[in-house]
Amino acid sequence: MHLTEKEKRMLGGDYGPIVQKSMDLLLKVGEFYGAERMLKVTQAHLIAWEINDILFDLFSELTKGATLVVPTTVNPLLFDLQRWQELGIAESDLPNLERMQSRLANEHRRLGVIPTYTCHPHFQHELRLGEHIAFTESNVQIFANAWFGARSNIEGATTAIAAAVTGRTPEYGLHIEGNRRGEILVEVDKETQPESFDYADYGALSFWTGRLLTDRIPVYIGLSDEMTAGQAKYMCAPQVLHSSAATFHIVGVTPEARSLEEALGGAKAKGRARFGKKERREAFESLCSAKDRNIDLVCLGCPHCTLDELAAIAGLLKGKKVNGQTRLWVGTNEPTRNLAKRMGIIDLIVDAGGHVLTGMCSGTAPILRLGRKLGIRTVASNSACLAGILSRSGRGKFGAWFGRTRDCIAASINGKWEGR
Amino acid sequence: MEIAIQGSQGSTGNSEGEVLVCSKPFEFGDADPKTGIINIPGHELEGQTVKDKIVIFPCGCGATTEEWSLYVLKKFGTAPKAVVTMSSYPCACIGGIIAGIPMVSGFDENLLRLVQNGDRASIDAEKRIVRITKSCNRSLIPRESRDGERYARGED
Repeated sequence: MHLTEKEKRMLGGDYGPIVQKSMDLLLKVGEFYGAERMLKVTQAHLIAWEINDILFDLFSELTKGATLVVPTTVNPLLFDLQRWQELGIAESDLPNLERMQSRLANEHRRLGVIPTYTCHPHFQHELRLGEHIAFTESNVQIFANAWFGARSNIEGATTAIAAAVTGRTPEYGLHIEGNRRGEILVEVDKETQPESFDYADYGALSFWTGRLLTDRIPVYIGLSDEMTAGQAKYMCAPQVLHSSAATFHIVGVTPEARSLEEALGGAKAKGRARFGKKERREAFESLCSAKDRNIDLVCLGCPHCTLDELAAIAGLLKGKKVNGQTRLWVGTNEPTRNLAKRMGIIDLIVDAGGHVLTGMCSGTAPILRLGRKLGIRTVASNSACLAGILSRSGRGKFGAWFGRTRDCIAASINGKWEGR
Repeated sequence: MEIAIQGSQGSTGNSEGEVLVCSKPFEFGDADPKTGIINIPGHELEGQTVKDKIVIFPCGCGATTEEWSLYVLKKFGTAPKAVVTMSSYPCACIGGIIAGIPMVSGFDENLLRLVQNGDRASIDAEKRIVRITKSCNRSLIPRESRDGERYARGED
């Protein structure tokens, strides 16, 4: 692999042991993929490491005394501990959770990581078409590629830090124009009424498509050209539950798909699929792992809610009350919550008995970690990512109902799942 | 019978062992770190262990925590001996690199047609070569032998 003089000095230790170690890791990855050189990156996004000792030690090893050279955002932590009572965490558990979480947050503060603690951090540093970045976490990385046309592989937590420390990433995979072309054409049939898709429909489409891809990038046609960023973010993580395809194109919507020809890079599609009513029903069914119709928790905001999602949830809750047996968690990030608070949106949700939580994974990680302790068994969500992971990693312990936002809100009010 | 196949991508190290094949995209996060066994009902590899196997599948998948899966398996002593994939999922590949597990990837021919559970494979990651030795009377004992292994481990 060809390194510049500066990169050679990084590798040689002139910039200290952390930069050296980081460059060594990036070089190994580059050599694996046969990369010819390093690229400069303009941003990095980290994942807040699962808080166990094995991984915290690895994190410390890679960051001790490090300086970040590019703006670096970070994914959610495990719990919103400033709202621990709303979450139902026992006071006796709090010191331990605070200790685990604050040692990581303190490291982030020391490093100068921008404490976004969100899987939708794009309000902070907007991306442009063709910009090389190093992002980890499937929501954030796929969204950056698909929606903005920025270029990032699906980094590991370690290589994202290494990129933040060196400002470099090896040139391979999605950094290369020819690897970004769509190969599988997915036609969304009019009979599904794409113009009135709920967030759950986008998630179901993404999950269903992921099963067809293996490693090939999909191109969607037939989706509404008025679709929003908030809707597109539900099409990210579900795609990689069963594939390694880390971007997608929507003809007429995303920047690298102004036409079908452009999305396919002038080549013929290697495969075609049609997403009709039957396929949608199958996707919804396979994401429902629950049997019990009594709902303990309704979980919205996975990935984190945008302002318009929060407003829509508040609208659905107007004049209603969340059932006493059911919790309603709505996940977002702190800046968005602050704006929504000023607009009166948060009060509407909280007055109805919902909890608007920030800085934490909206459902998956806290449910898997603490769900049983909080008395949670059956969860309803409009997130295909959450439903998909709970049915796998949480099998036998938790059941999920996957459905549209209004069905989830209705479940929080009635305490029962009546969605279809 | 031995078949040698040339990949285009690879890490470092050599390894040799029994093959475990998954026909679909696979994530090591599905294996229990304490045992290496896949406990997901209905999973193609349900009841099998990745420990000390040469695991062969089309490509990785799953959340980016997949990077840690191989690393954590390694720390628990339940990691596979090597990983061979048709194409490579970056976050999983990075996990293999930090765990020091030999990996080879990037094949033109359909590797999965050439190999089945119980075959043996040796890999030279630096040269990106995978050599597969077919188990001779494979066709006589496929399913039963696996079930036998499960009994031997005290399952079922």
